[in-house]
Amino acid sequence: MSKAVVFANLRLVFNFIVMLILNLHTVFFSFLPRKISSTRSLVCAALLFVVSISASLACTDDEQCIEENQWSIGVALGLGASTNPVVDGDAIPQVILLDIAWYGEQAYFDNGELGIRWLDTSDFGLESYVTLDRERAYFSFWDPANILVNTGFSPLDGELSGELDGETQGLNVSIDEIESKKWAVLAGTRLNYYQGSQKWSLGIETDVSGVHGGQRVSIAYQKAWSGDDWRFQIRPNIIWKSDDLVDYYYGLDVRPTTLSRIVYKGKGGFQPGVSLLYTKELTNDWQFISSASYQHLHSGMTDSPLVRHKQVMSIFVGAGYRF
Amino acid sequence: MIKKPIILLLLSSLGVASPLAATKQSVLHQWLVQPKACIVQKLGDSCAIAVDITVPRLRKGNYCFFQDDTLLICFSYDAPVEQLNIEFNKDTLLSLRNQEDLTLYSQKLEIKTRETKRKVRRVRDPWSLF
Repeated sequence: MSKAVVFANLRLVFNFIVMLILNLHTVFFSFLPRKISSTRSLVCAALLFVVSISASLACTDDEQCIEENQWSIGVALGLGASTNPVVDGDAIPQVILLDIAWYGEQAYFDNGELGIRWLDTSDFGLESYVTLDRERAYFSFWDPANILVNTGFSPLDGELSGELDGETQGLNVSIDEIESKKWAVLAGTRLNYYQGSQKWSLGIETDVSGVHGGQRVSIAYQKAWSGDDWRFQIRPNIIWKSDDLVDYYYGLDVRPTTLSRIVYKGKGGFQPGVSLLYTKELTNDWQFISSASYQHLHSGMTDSPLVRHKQVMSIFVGAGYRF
Repeated sequence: MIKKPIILLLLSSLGVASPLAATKQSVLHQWLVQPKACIVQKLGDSCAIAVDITVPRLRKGNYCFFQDDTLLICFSYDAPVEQLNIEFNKDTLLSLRNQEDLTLYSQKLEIKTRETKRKVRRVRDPWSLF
């Protein structure tokens, strides 16, 4: 092995360690009081500007590859939905799916994720990115009645009658009765390890928008099988969400009446899940797409009066067209 | 094994063209343009090359070379142009036309790029499903 290659590898390892330390630093601070951890956002912003590495790999798997410096745009039409675990939260319809991606030499945009690839070899990939916290999607009001019609009816009035002592066990609180949630921007770093048709991923994300100051860590394994015109992949994963993140979305401190008060403190925890994806090429431009996923929610979230389901499931079947 | 060269030698000494020589002769009188392609760094780059042209025996008259529909040069049948400087940034057609504007011969000149579009691995799966 030449000196240049050894030097390049050492530099990659060094940069990865630096980024890992920075992210672990932010996760560690999440356990400290908010005042002490106020530097988290700065640290994570700095994360995106850490020493740049350029080590690119020519891609051979068409399904996972994209031409450099060219937008890839796909639209899928079909039937599908994602369940919504929050009380009075409407299921999220999946009728139109978009697949939008652009990759430069290092910078990339991939379905809402804007990032920089530090490393891309046959075995390893390392990237840092910013993305919106999708947890917020559960709090959108898909039903037009929620937007256009103000009935003046408060679900809390009925559900909480007699619950004056603040006990939250068994209560349901509608998302219509709480303050609207803001979209948080997460900055993260993800390490991928590739081994043939298998992929391991470790991702660490932290809020850099100051909305909830929480973190998210995910570990995923992915295995794919493919033929000439089809591909099937399974992806078990586990996600850890911090106290701050869970508490922002699912914590409660409401006063439905002057005599009662409902308080719930969200707690962090692990959420295991699995996803399946099957695609089959119909023509050069069209492909059949079907997917399903299941994510189990942890008790620190499901114990909240805002949450009614212990899992999130989604399914989609349709046809995708790539421009 | 050694009979063939001897026979060829005898035939040539008798003034009879060998099959090999005949082939060479016919190649010399074929419409031939060299080179047929130009290599550029990337798509869109301009390329200027001198192409060597072998023109078959022509009947009396004047002839002209065209690059696509652009006139390059005209010449008399007995003094054919044997080299042309051509500039192009996409595939082009070099043609020889007679004075009736009838295309007698043509050759496509291609642009080849060193940098083919590189593909990179996506960090997320397509269709945002995971």
